[in-house]
Amino acid sequence: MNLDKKPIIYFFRYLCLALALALILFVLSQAVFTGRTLIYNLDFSQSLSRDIVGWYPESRVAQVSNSTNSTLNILAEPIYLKIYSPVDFKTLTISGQLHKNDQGANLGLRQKDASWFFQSIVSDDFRLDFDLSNAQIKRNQLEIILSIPDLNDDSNISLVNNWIITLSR
Amino acid sequence: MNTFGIIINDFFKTAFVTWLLLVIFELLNPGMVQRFINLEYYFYLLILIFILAQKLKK
Repeated sequence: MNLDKKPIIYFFRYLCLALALALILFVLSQAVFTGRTLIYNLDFSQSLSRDIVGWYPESRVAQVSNSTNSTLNILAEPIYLKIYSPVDFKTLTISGQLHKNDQGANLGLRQKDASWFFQSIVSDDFRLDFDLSNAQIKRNQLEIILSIPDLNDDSNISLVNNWIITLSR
Repeated sequence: MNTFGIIINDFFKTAFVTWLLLVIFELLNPGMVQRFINLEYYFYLLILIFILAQKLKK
């Protein structure tokens, strides 16, 4: 009886080992990044994905979708975003659109001394470059802040769901 | 122990060693594993498999 069951036992044993090895190799392969540029296309409909956390706190934003596009309305500020960075990069570029109705808006990057390095968003179509040499990287994540100092109840500020984050070295 | 019990026992041992390796990877390079696998839920699953393996041993 035992002889008949051994092939089954060995089959499942080696299957488990193969699955475990495949899982470990997959995780290791995803951690290795050899390219010079890493591009994230943000999807504001998901506040938590594999590489991007945010925008948070979720109570400060509201997702609005219509037939043509989707936007993220800002209800309170500031709001934050975390970006996973598998290796050390030199430059972070953020580009996209937002509707700010001539209100001041600033994007900031967390620095090593816990301060923020801000850049102003001048027009609704923007592209900002950040130097990452002094950026704080905690748990392989960069932290971004969007600050709108004059935000009030009558403000109507929204982010278009077409932001792109580029990390390059 | 019957065949099913042996299979579950082997599965538990493999899963446990895999979990340990993944925890080590996560400690060495934070975020590397947690992006894909929730190690906390993995651990809870290990406990359930362990309990099942112990029940089948008897």
